[in-house]
Amino acid sequence: MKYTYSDVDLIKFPQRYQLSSFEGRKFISSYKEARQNVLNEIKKKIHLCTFPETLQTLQKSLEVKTQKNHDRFVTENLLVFILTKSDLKENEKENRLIEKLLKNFEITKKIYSEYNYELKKQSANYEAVRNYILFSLICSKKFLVNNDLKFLNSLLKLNDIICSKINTISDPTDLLLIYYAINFELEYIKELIKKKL
Amino acid sequence: MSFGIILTPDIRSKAYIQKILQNNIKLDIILFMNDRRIEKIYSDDIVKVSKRYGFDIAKPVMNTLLENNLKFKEFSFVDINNPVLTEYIKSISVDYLIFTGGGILKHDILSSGSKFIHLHPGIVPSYRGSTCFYYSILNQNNAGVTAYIMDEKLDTGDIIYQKKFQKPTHRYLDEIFDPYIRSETLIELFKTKKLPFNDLIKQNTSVGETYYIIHPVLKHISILSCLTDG
Repeated sequence: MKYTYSDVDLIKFPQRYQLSSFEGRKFISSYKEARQNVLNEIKKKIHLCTFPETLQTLQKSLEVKTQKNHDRFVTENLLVFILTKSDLKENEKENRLIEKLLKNFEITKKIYSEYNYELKKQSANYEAVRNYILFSLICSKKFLVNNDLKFLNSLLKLNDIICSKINTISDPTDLLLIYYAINFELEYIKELIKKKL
Repeated sequence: MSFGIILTPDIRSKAYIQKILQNNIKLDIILFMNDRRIEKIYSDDIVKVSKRYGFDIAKPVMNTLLENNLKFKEFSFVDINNPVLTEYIKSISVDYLIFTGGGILKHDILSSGSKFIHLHPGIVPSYRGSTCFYYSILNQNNAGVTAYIMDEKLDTGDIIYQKKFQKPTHRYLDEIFDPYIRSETLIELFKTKKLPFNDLIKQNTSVGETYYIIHPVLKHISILSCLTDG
């Protein structure tokens, strides 16, 4: 059997996941195999470095701004800021924004390039794969901290989207980030299976 | 006090109406939104399991209504916010209507004079939103149902009754476990609570968790965890 949830470009043709059918244990194996195939492809394309090194590269490649005085923000900048900040303390305002972004993503399956602070889209562009990668890593961080399955659920959907676009991605930083996003997801799923099955 | 139900041509309505009849519960009015969709054919195994849980998944709602000589008003659409339905509800003045379908009720129907009861497969406020029983099984090895009076938001209405269930030992969570836990809660609600429902519990809408449609990987782990322990 084949894992089919990343077969088509999910940014163009969003997957709604309604009433997905039960295929038994072989479904889990096919999912793991599909994700592993993506990891193998990435390993062929880039030289791996550690996750902290990857984040440093990401920070350097962007002019990170919080843009507190503006009524809108560039999604990528904000996601990089949240992902790379060394202060791990939970921040109420930041949490609310992540929750709203997660809700928006779950309903629309899109992440727009700019929003206002009420999270109303300020741009028509939702095709920047980096935003999906960054949000996947933020969901991963949130799941690690609070074990809330809501974040693992979105993380799986975000990684489906990313995997569906993998052949179009060549930026080494993006590929490194994807490598870690998928590895984190596989690790969480492995732990959950160990606990539940 | 009058009590009715709004049925749709789906599994949940099959379970609700069959269990209402089995328990001799009298309804003052039955509304049936019926778009005459083609009935799904079910395997022998799923039919057998559904009967074990107190309803026949293969029996169309229409057949149950006709075989039991029940009076009902049929609508040719399946849309709870359809103005035709709203106008009809206004004209019949029924106090409570059980709504078997999903989705959010808009202002017009909520202002029709009736109160709408929904049976949500999650213990609120911890489990609001979609496919909650899968998450609850993963988190707590059980699932629950909340009966509440619907308002304009998602799963935030005043609570009438809540009931918890052990996770099932079969694989048909969408098809059987979900309608089973909802219909069982409905029957228990009829048996334990008296009309009018005066002891409603107000929800604190600022607390709790909202879940979204479960990803197939998590869904599989949830179902497999039922089979593993079973």
